Amino acid sequence: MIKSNLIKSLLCFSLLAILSFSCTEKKLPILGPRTLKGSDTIYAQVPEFEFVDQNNSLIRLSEISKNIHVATFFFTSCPTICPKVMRNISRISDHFKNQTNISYLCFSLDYKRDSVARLIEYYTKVGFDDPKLHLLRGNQPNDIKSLAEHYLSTAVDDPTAPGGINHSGWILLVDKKKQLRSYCLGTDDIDVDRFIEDIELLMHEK
Amino acid sequence: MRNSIFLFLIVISLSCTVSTSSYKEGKFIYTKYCSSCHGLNAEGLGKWYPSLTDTSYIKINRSKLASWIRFGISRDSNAINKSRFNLVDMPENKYLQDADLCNILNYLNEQYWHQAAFNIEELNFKK
Repeated sequence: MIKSNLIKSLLCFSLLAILSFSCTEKKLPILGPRTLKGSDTIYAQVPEFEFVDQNNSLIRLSEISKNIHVATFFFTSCPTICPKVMRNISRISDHFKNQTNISYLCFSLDYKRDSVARLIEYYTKVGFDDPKLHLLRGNQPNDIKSLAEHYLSTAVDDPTAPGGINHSGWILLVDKKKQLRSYCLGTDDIDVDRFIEDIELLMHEK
Repeated sequence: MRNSIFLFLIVISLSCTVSTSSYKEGKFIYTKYCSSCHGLNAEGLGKWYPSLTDTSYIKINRSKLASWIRFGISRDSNAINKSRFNLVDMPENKYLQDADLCNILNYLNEQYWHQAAFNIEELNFKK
């Protein structure tokens, strides 16, 4: 009798231990390059920018960073991975339809062809429907390409690449401190599912 | 009864192995090279990339399909033909072999169009 009580209490204890362990909050890491200042680690931040979106509205990072944001680099004439990536951006924005504390920034790498008029046409015809989703156009031919590296993305002109631009299909997650917290391959639906869970984690981070 | 179930299973497994090889191969190539724009279920993407499920359109253009996949379609020619999809070029896919093109068409045919199967002799692979 005593023995069975002991076993019971042991079982209870281990159950409790497992429960409390699994309740410890999972936190997303901070990604990207870091430096040391004295004994403090300084994490990289996305530098400030100001671009127009498909509605010709000025979008500033300082405004966007009142919320978390999701970012990707694309161009409307892309014949390879962008359509798949943008499908997934659409899927993510649908998933968080009722959330106001997240925005989506899709930076166009094609300064020459992606005018504001073309971006609004793309937005409408692809069927995006989210006021928090911004298709952004650079102020100069190369400013978005130089921004890409701060989002750990590749974006270089390459005449041999389909569509003329070599680019990675990453989708990235940035917190209110402008620090990168997660990423996924925008062409991989399963990876995007995992990314959506990461967004939920960041949304609930204190 | 038992025998008939057994027979049924044999027929099912035979029909799977025989008739789906071109289909399977086509599905693999379609998924890899076409689905980014046209969608995993050939549904297209809004009014930017066309869906591929319009059987009547396929019937009219049956002889051109292989050539379209191989050489792409320029947005200008779509504009001339008064297609709604004149905002972006369909890229060429010159690395695909004749058999690949035929398999893609047979995959889409079995899945969506339900016409006579495409055979490699009937297809026009020239521009």
